[in-house]
Amino acid sequence: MKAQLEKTFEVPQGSDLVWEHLIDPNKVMDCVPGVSIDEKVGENHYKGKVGMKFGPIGAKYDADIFYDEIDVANKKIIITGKGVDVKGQGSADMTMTMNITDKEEGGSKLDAVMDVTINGKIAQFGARLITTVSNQLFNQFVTNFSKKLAKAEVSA
Amino acid sequence: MFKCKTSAEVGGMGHSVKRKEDARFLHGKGKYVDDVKLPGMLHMVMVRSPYAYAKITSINKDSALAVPGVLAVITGQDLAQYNLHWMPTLLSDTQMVLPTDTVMHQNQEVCAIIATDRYAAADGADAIEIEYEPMTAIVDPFKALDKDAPLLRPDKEGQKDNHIYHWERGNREKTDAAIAKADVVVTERIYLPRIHVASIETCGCVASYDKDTEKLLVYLTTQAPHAIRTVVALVAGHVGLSEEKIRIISPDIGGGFGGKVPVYPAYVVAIAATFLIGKPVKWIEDRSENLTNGFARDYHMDCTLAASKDGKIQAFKVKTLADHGYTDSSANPSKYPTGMFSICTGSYDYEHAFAELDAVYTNKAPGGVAYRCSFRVTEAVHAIERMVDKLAHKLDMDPAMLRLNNFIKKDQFPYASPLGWSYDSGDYEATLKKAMEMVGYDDFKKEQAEKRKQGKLMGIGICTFTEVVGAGPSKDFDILGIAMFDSAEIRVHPTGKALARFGTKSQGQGHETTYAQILAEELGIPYTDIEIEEGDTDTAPYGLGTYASRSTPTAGAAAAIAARKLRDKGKKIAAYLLEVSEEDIEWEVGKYFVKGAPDKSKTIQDVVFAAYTNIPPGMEPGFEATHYYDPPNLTFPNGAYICVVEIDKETGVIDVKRFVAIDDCGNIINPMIVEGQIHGGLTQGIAPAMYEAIQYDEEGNVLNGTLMDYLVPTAVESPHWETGHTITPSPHHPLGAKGVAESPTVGAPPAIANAIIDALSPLGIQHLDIPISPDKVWEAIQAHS
Repeated sequence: MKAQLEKTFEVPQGSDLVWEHLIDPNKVMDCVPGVSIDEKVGENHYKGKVGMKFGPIGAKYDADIFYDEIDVANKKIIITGKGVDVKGQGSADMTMTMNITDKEEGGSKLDAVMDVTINGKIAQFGARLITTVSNQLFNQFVTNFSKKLAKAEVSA
Repeated sequence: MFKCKTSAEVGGMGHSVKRKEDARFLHGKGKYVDDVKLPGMLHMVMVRSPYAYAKITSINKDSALAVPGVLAVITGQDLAQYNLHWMPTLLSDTQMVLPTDTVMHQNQEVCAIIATDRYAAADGADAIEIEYEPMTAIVDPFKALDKDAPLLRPDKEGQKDNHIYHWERGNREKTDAAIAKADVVVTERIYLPRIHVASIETCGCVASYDKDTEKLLVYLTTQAPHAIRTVVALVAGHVGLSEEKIRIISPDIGGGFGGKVPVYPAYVVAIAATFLIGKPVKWIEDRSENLTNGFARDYHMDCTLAASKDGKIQAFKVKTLADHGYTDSSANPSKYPTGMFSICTGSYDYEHAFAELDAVYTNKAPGGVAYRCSFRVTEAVHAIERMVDKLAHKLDMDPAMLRLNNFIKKDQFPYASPLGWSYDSGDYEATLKKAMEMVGYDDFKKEQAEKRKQGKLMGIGICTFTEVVGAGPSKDFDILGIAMFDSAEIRVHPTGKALARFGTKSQGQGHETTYAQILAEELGIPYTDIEIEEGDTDTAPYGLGTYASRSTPTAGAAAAIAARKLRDKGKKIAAYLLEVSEEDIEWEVGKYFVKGAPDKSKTIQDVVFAAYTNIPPGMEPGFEATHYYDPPNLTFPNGAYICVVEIDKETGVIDVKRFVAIDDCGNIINPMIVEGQIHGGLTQGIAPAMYEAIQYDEEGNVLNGTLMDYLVPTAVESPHWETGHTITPSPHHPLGAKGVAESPTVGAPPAIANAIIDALSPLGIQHLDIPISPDKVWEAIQAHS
């Protein structure tokens, strides 16, 4: 099944700092609950693990993460992730487009659009939970990411 | 009305005697397949595909075999060594038992885990590692025919696209000409979505092969044990299973509805497993496996109905696209790939009709089982009954009046329908008028006019259907070549008590009672003195089983005729005992007497006793008879259903205020059982009308494979059913009876849909596909206001 999420959030830091974090998977991915990056396997291509739970159904994916587009001038990135359940119970694909803009009054605004396609057990049994769980994961990401940016700002 | 010939004690036809089987069911002593426990029995769990369409790149058995208790993992490659990885379907297509390289629908069986208990088997299924390479699934049947659509069945020789077959009946040219000339023409695309039978008991088996006796015993959830035995012998003959060594036992069955007609892959895997391992193997399907495998309906029907401006129907045409999933495993007779869909001309008298159908492959589960709808009658009746209502709306005529004006008249039977059926009997006008009177049709019409003035949404829906049940005749009807007749074998013991066995198999219909009542009617032996057995192929006479309301039309008739053979024998014995000639003996229920001297008589029990103790010289001893009944025609039950609904404009919630069902199923064996069947069938009619549909997403994931998401109506959702009868006996059935159980499932959905659409018609809404849920109604209201 397919789901689309559109999210906007703001952070007090400037867009340069945000951008620097976003393009580095080691800095951004550990802000997403259940996601870890294991290794870089090529130009803009990383391998990692994703674990999630949708109500009664859990999944552990081996994931390939690609930075498909890094548009420095416009501060826009497109990240795609392809995950296959380690035991063959299904798969998930995600494309996320994120734009960062500086706000006049300082800080920056992030606009994200995520398209998610899920197959297998989660689609079958967790369908009704996917949007709710995704929203919650995103909110947790925002909290974690904001904290990380704040820390980075202090240490900078 | 039907007049009982027997006393209440004898309990022949027309008596609402309590069901003999209910004591064991009510006391929790029914014995179902999952109750079977054999020494040393192993348990099997199927691993199923998460994808609708994918290549299997690897199956790593090791992690499953490492689970304590797991003894074996069986894959398609394993079965391929014995050439058992494919099997024929009931319609001579081919279906994978287990795949060797490609999965074709979500939740398709991929491999089997055999373990010492079910928990270990489930842990093994969780532990196994399978790699897939997902491919783009074809979910939309219309896209299956696109030129660039991938070929789903390259395994089939000569298969160039995803088209399975084309079928047609009737005269296209004459029908087109009649439509072109007609004053009024209405058209609609009507979709009957996939639904599931959702029987309380899922499917399952216990297969047990004894290497010493070479006998295979299979306890199986099957509606047709004999047919299954023959199929197993034909499919597995090459590995040494021969038919006399195969015993299929269909024990108590918790609902079949057509879903227990097909052979499911796991049955075959369990049989292969016991054959190889030498221990009994049990497989019991879980609920989600059940709900995502097999289906009924899934017909997209483009309908055209033409009439004169004064409302005389002139022609009907329907072009259908049928989504069969990845293989055509429809449970239909060989020569009738679309079942009895050509009954779609309905209860109306007109000359021209044409029906055609194209069937396609998609990445969905195979099935096409009846679901209490006799071979696609539900689809056919929904099409014509929706169209008749649409025509009434266009003509601004009362839908009841339009029907009354077009009905086949009582004296036109037997009636040759435009698509080739010979309707046996009916009095459609009387049936509809009885329903109108019972519901208070005229009053509701007035109330509706009042409510419409106040802006309220109230609808009255009618369905006047003609059913077609009871296959054979065997010259036309067969399943995989096996002729569709059925059988009864009666043994009356010396003390006058009897054991009767049948080729059919009850799944809750009450055969142990109704067959005993037929024999009580014919022999005068109390129904309580007659034991009924079915479902064991080692003991029961050969028959094609129970589905599509065929038991009473076929095996019920066989029982009557076998009993009459015994009555003839009894007459000879009575003549001998009473020392008169046979011609001087007369029969009245339960006794033989001398013409003109009713005091000189012998009871049936006296006569039976003599058959074992005082045998007339030259006569074969014993009192037994068998009959294999090949019906001369099908039976055509019919009915008139009226539904009244009110709809909340703000929420779209539909309230079914009244539902009156008048059925004509000919002579009735047990009115209470018939009423029970009708209540059950009506509830299974409101189900697809308002609640049930198997939902797929674009990738072929089944989105409602649990009973939390697949809405089966309960007593809470069921309205108060009001039932009644007209009785027009079948002229060719020995008891004048017809089938009944599926009539309500056929008749209820269009009655409900017509009522809802009638309620919404002031807003300009002319059609909604079922299931019509509150959100669908709400959206339609928003779109039209």
